[in-house]
Amino acid sequence: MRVEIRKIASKEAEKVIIECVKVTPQIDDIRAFAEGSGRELAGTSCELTMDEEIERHVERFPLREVYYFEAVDEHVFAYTEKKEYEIRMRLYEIEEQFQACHFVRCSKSVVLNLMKLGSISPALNGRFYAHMKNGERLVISRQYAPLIKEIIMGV
Amino acid sequence: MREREMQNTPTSLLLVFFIVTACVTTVQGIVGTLLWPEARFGFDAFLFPPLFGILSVLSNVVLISKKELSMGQMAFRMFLQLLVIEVMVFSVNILAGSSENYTPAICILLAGAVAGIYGVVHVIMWLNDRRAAKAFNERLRRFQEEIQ
Repeated sequence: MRVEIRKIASKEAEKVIIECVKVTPQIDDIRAFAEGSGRELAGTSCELTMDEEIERHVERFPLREVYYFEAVDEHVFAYTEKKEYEIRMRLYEIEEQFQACHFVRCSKSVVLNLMKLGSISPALNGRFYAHMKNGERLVISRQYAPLIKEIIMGV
Repeated sequence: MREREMQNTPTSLLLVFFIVTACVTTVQGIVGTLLWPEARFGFDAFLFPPLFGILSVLSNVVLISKKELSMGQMAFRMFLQLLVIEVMVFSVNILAGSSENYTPAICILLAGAVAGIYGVVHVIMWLNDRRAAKAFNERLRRFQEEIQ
């Protein structure tokens, strides 16, 4: 496949155009990589000030740094290695939009990043523990375990 | 997607059915030979192990929840499931009239056997999951290397 890179002036106008006869799994991989590598999210992070007041900041952070998204009482949080952000998206939107970037639902309230998953181990009654690379442990419910296995094992 | 998510449940229920049926047959054979070696049965006796298998599968209703259960809640539900199975097994024995000669010692033995089978089922399923997790982890590493 020929690769052509054209330099432009504006960062916002950067884009990848794929010209292909047919959208094959390889093309999907390239698209997922292009979408995921540059994608950023906006979220609100909370910090405790010296006066013990909560200060909220809206920050942008790369999608690839997110370990997992969790829904807690109608709020959705994104967890990176050191920080957590509240984001304005529903969990099903995250699941649908970031599927190509290797995000997958592992329970009713969590969507995890397969690229940040260290390993899994069996838990009770057909469930699994997901050991994330930052040391956190999540539960993969029995309902979603086959889907994750299908993505990784291809069966 | 929903169909794919659910496809493993019938398989695991079928696994529970066959493990329970096999274990009940084995335990009945061992306990019966030790306690009532002179006893003889008709062909209807063959129906009891699969009946207990079906009852065990039905008892999975106890584990169904709309909310995501924590590990502690799941452990409690599994304990409840064991109690439900114990009640069902004793009820079947009473209804079938085979409980007339039961002494307290035999009742304890039966309850212990049911708990033992329940434990064996979950140990076998855990070992199966451990094997699956090992294969998954190996493939996961390759998956991540291919993408990065």
